[in-house]
Amino acid sequence: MNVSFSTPVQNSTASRLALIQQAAARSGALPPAGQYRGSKLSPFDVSQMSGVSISMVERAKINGPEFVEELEWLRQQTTSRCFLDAEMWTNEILAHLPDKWCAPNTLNLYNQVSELVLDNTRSPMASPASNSLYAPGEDQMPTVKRNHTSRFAQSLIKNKEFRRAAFFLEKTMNGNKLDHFLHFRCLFLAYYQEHLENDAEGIERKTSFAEERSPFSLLYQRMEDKKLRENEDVWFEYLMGLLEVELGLKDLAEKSFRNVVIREPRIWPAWEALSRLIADIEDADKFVTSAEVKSLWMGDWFMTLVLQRFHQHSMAIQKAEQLVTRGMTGLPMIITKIAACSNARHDHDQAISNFEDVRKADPYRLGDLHLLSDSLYIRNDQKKLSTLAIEVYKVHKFRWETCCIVANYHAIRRDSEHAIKFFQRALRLNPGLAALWVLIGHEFMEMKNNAAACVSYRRAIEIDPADHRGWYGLGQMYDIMKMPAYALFYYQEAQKCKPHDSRLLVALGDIYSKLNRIEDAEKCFTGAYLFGDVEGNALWSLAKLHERYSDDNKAAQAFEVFLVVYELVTSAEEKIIYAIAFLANHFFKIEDFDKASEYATKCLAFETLCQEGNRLFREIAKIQARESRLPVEEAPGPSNASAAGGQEAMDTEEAPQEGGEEEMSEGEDDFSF
Amino acid sequence: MQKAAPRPIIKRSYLNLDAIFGHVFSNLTGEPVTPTKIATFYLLRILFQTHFGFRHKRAYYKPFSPAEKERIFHWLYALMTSVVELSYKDFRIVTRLAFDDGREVCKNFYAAMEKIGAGMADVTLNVEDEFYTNKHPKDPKLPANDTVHEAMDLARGDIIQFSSNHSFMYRWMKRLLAQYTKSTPSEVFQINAAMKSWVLSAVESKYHPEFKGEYLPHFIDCSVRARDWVAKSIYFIQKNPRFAFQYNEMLHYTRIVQKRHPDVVEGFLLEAIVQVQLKDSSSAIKAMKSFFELSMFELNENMVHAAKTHRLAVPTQTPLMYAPILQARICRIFGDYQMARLLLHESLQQAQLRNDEICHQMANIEMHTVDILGCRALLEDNNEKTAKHIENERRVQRKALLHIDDLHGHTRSGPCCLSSEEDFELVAEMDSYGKMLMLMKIIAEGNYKLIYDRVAETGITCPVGNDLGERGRKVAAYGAALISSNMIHNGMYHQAKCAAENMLANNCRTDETDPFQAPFQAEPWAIGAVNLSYSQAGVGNYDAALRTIEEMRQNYPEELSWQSNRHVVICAAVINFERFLLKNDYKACASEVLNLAAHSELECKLRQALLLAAAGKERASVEVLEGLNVVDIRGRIRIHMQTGCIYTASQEFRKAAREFADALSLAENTTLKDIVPMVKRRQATMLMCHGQYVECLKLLKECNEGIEQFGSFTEKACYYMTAARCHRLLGKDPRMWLKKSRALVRNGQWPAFTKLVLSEIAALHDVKGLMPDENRLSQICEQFGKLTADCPGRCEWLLI
Repeated sequence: MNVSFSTPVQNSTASRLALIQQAAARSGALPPAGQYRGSKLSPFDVSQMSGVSISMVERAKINGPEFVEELEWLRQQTTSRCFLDAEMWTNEILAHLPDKWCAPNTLNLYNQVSELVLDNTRSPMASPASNSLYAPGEDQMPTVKRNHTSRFAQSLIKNKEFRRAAFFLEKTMNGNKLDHFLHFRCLFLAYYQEHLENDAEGIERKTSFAEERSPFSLLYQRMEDKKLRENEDVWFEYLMGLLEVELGLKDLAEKSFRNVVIREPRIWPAWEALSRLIADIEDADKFVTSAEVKSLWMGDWFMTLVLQRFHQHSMAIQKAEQLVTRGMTGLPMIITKIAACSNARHDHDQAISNFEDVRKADPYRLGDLHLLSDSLYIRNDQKKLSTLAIEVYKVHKFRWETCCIVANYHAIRRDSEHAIKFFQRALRLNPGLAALWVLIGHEFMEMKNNAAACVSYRRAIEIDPADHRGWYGLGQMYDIMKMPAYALFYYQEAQKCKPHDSRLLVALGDIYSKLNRIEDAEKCFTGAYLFGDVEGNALWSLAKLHERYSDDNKAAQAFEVFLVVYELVTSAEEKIIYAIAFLANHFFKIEDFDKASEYATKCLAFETLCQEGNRLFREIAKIQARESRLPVEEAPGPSNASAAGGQEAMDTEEAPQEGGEEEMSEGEDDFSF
Repeated sequence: MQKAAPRPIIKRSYLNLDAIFGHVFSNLTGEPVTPTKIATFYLLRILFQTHFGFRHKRAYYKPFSPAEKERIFHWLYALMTSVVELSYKDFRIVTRLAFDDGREVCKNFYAAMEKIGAGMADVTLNVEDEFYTNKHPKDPKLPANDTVHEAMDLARGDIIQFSSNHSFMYRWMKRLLAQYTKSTPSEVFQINAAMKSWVLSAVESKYHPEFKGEYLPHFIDCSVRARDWVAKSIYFIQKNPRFAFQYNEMLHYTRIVQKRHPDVVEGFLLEAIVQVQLKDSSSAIKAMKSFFELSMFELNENMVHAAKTHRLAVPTQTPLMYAPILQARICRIFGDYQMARLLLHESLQQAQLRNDEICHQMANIEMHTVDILGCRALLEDNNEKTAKHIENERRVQRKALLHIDDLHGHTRSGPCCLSSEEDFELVAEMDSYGKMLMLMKIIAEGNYKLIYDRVAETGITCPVGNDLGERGRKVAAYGAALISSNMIHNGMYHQAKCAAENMLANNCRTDETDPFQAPFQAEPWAIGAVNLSYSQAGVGNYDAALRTIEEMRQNYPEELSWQSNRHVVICAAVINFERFLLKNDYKACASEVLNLAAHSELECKLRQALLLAAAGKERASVEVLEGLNVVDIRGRIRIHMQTGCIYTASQEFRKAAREFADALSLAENTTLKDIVPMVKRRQATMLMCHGQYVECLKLLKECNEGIEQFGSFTEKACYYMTAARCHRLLGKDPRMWLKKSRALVRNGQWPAFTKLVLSEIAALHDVKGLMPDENRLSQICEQFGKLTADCPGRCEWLLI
């Protein structure tokens, strides 16, 4: 869509204006801001807006049987190795498999599976290399008893008695490779559980008298000594990666998980762990597209998680939707993720509808449901929120998601105290979630307890300094306290965390304009518009900024773009009226009568502006009449003969009346400003 | 009339902020429970039981006498304050040395320890009620009203009290018990195991407190000590950074304190101060903000409320007012005045909203500091530059700060701020700063009237009652530095030397062992030292001045305090420039000028112009001077004088006369003592060069007294030379002036000038001269020849 702009463009601001105009042209092609854009946005556009470029290659449809085979393998592995989370994840996908992929499988599912891990074969360790791991002369159990013991150990793991399981597995590990792995896994789980329990016991941050090293490091050392990383069983390396995460060796952990994925791309848990560690998006993209990693679809899903982690929600949605178009339809996991990303990019209607789809298929699924409550809160849908809260509270009272939903329910009823109590409960259950502290802070703000709000936001920053909401909350608080100079730092920090969020840019621009830093404010508002203005305030603020500082030309440019983008958005009617009135008067003032009459015509469409439009028409006609008369009287020339004859005649007749009109309407210039 | 029934008080539970924010202040009390401390506790308990008995049973031995108690407490205190962990073996040596007095203290102690070592007993840290009550309970076997009880109590008397409950020991024990009581079960098990292995290992103590893998030194291993360390560090950085830790080390420990002791929010303040010293303004602001935000949740000072609600902390909005002031200060230090003004404006608004007088005054003073001094090392008048901003700001101009005559005495008339224990002292301190700022402003405007008894009265002293932070000394030092600077400003070199020496002599270490008695090494003292150096150079004693600078370089290195160091850099550059200029070493001069560039455009450009003129580029030199846009009155006079001198040297006398006239008209509106004689001297020199000897002599007479009193060494030299030559040319006897000139440069500070004097004498004794004397002439010529061999080049005295 080509839009012509008549406002004179000054040289110094040409590049910036060109950008605005480009963006305006693009926005014209898009659905109105604040509405769901679907997947119509081209990958190029998205990457242009976010400043990140990743590969968005259209891939072929997923082969159903191969997909099922991959997951069957993973299910088998996770079940036998007691990775309960991963097992549930796999089974969930399998349970929601598209119907056409549920045909009887023709592929030989297990022929590629390494025989050493099969639960029912229980093969003794045959290779000499493996045998050398154990001291000679250890007791050998009868096979039947060993199998019984192994099974007992597995049920112990499922019942969270990890130490006990490790004790029994120690007896059987010599004869069975799976038990060998499970023994180490049990120890890891046991230490993890003990660590969490100890952590929960004290309320202070304790000093330890470090007489001994942490059990994680001892276990890690033991595994290193036994060279288990090089073991043919790839899950050992995954386990070592987990240990490295616990020991804070993030670089090593990342390396381990990459290695695991290269060795066996079907191990989803390694992908997932890697998505939490990888340092930047482009690195992740390079890894996924490299020839070493051969994965049917997990790479794409991994990229979705990575993109979400780095706040590139639009791109994450695109990646997820690619998977849907490739055949993975109806999977709650994907739909929930799309909903979560939509929530993050403030596309709440989309988020709500997606969450509702999931809830229809799986009403008791709680994952990410707190975001639904968040969207409902923002959309102020008390009815749905209360229904949701009642349902989940009945079923899962002590899940952190439930607490969050109930807290939001209290918040929407303006019962801040209860809201805080439930958020606090959610924090107890999931202490690592910075967003909860931010919500607590918001509630304190509602209660006018600024100091407590401030400490809450600080806690959010402490947990995750890269979470923009904590910084933004603090900035907002000081802004409310009428301390814009002090708030500036926080908005800057927030913007650093999420450089392409238009809301943060608009807020920053507002602060700059309060501090009289006009150029900075202008940059912010322009940037906010270029990055896809979520709330539709950027252009408006830009125009008002220029208007405030009496730069009417620039203000007019911004109002023009504003009108192009928002003319059909009903919710912005007041602003549109203002913009049209401003433009009509402005063009009249600078004597661009064509444009002035164009906007005066637009004035007529609004009841409140009708009179103003008519007045302007009369003024324009009067001036044009005067001008057309001048050349006749003083210096007749061909250039002035362009005025329309009929109109001219009419205007000359009305001239004496209009003189009076002019005088009368002098004060009307201030109308509506 | 019937009294209305009291309104019912409805109590409801409200949010427990302590719980929400993780019981931050429960970390306040407590002493880490380590084996040495457990052993000390056991020893203390055994000593108490030996002295008092156990419950109703009287002790087998007689109680400790006061002298005995003094001895054993000496040992106990030594053990309690030990900063290292002792091994069991060492502990046994100590107990054998200290408590082996026939009362079986040692034996009982070893028995208790060995029981723990053998696993027969667990560590129990509790003490009988009698420790606090100092009264034996009644023997349960006897009837309650038996007279035996009373008789027994009377028999023992007062001697039975073991320790006062105000003693350090009592508090130490309470803190240890507090820590033990809040230990989790797993920690109690840990303590038991640790104690057991301590007893068994016997030789070596293995205990190194750690926090998340970081070694935790004794001074920050508990909240109380960490807070103390932070406070001390802040104190020393401000007073004398040599006594604080190194900055990087301090940052490292500060980070540990921030993580380990969430209640010691001052850790962030310390970090901010260190970052300012490391010139990292953004980190400093970040840390400062953390400090203020975390301190919005503070310990409740209302004990009744705390006891009723069982909540230790309350939210407070006080930091809201003060936070912008400190951020503004950082902005000012790093030169962002615009931001500083905005922030201070916000602080003023908050203070006005909350009626906080102290905050209001603090922000006002800081605002004036931004306007008057900024972050510059040299005081120059910037009034016109800042006037634009002041117009836009709506704020209350405090009367106390408007004029020096508005001073008033301080009388306490009720509390003036929401919460402060030292409001009176603070206000007094800030009033003093306010006065000083006004003084600075007047000095910069060149209107300050030197009335010394008046200065002594305004004080620039701070009438403080309770001088905890050594405020009185700080304020006095600021005042003394200011006054000595002003003396230099007015050419009163001898008086300035006296004042600076006084100030520095009073800043000595009184107690070698106590770091708190260390001398101050902060900016005012650096300025005092710099002024001493200037005053020495002003009278031509460059050797002494250089010695002072060298001493300062050692005392104020840049890595320790860049704020103080910049004065040293400026001083060294100014004095060395003058020294090299007098020796005609222009290359060295040029390199010294570069050191000034970062600190003052005026000083740098004036000297550059001088160098250009000396190199014969008069036109370029005048252009440099004309390009200077200076508001400062003294600066403008100096520019006129310098331009005039350059015109004199290039024999453009009309232009020179105009410049001097401008300078004089400006100078006459100031109260600067030395400036009018200086201008007149230059005028006289110009007239002499122009051949108007009579007018020259008249002017010289006018300014004679001023030059003799307030003229610097070079100024006097130029005056004497002008007078001598003028007298000679008028056919009068110039020998008095020549004598004075020779005496002035006797130490060879200005060889070129000595040559000039010699040539003047030669002209006098020349055959055609006023007093022909061939012998004298040949002597003089010989001296001149020698000097020329050592120091070639002509004397550019007309430029000075």
